[in-house]
Amino acid sequence: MTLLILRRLLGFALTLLAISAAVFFLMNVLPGDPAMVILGIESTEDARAALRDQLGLNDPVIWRYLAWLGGAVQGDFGVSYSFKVPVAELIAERLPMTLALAGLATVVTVALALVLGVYAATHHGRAGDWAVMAFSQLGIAIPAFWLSMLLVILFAVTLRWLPPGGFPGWDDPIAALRALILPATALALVQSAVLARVTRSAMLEVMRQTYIRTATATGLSPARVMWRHALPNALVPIVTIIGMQVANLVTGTIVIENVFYLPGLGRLVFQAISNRDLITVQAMVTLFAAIVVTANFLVDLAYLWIDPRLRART
Amino acid sequence: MLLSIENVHRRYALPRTHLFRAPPVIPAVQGISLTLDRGEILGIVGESGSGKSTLARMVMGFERPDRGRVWLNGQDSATLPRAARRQTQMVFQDPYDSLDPRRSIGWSVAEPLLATSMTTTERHARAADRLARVGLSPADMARYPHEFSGGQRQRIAIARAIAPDPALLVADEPVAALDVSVQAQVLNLLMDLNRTMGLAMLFISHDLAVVASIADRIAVMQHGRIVETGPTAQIVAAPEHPYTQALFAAA
Repeated sequence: MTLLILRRLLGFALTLLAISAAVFFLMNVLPGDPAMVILGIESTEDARAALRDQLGLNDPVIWRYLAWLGGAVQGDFGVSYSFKVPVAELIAERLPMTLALAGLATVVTVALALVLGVYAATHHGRAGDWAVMAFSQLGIAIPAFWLSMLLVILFAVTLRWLPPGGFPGWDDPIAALRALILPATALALVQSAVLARVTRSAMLEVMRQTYIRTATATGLSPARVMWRHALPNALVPIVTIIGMQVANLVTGTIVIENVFYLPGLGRLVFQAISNRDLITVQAMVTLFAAIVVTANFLVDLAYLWIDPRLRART
Repeated sequence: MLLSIENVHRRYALPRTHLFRAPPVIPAVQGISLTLDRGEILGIVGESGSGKSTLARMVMGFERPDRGRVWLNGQDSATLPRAARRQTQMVFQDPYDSLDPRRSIGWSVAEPLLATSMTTTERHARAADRLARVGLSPADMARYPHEFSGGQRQRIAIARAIAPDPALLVADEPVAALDVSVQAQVLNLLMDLNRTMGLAMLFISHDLAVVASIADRIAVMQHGRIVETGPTAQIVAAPEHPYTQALFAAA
């Protein structure tokens, strides 16, 4: 078991390394001159050459990668070309908001999907099942940014329950949470529509198993059979999809933060790309990839918790 | 009288084959009456599709008869509260699939006791005792179903079924999925439990030889009806109905 976790941990580290290399070299083959971005198009060729030399851009690419990687593992991602402050600082300022947004969206997604999915499975073929499936089809069909606008029109403009956008900062946690409710809902509804379907079909599959019938036969309540036997056994496909959805939720923040004008990583990466701020984009893409890889690593660990048969294989 | 089945009928509607015609109907059980005393083993034998399992499901209260009644301890099975249903437990055919793969076997055996007033310690002790009764070690309680053989799993399923001290055990083809040598062990175990715990059994099988080896009385089913019934010795010595004779010829 410990060995298994160590092996997964090693795979996790190697994946991160490969991603950082891929991102770095990809950024370096892209056209565009950082010196031009920093000094502007009016600058002289001499000034740009001097800056390139100063930034170490003339060194071999391997050398620059190792230097960047060495800094990155110590939390130094270089200085943003456009914001003129360390990239690490930019990230540190914005990370909590994006994590809170993605975290809240994940909680809403999972809670909503499990309830809807289990409900649909236990009411298989009846009106409730059809209603859940119709909601889910609608959720899958609607793009998150459009749903965001609908939510803003209803809850912010018409009903005035929640702010339409912007972020008041963390000093007032209640206000901060209120600002995150609409964006998190917009992110979560679409994902939960997908996850509800997966939950429903995984539950239907498990409910056909004999041990579910047997559990009922021993005299357990239907609710206990559903939540303690059927759902835990249906978790493997559900958790797999949740792992993939974390990636969608994290990248989804790019769109949602721009719609709701939230100062998070999503807006930062959008601004950095617009400004050709490659060094920031590089750090951000690596960071997004790291979040996704971490989520998948956690999913791998979750499998061990879910299925005792996997634990034995070490 | 522990169990009394009065003229029960059960039909199943198949999916529609034609938009404007009534869906086809399978009459699974067509007027069966049986009784079972405390501590008695009643064998039900018949080929697949003869309605044996449907009968078992109605006794367990999973399904209601279309017509007729099932009485358990003098109470109508259709309106029996869940707590009283613990008096009737069931063992299924497939031992590979009847235990929750995520739960340790100690957990599985103790779970039916959750609805009782027993404490955690009492439940644990009861599960250990029941595992010992079926020939497993209480030390196995922390292990998972996949670590056991088919015969052992069927023993675990039996241990779970007898955990709440039922008066009646419905065993639907409990040995059909097992090797012949293991079949004998499980049959001996069931007979042993019948003697030591006074456990009554509705023992269902397609195999007349298996039923004859364990049952006090036998009812032979064909097409949802009982064609012959009587003490085991009598059925074995002089089967009257041609279908029973055919079953013997096949066994």
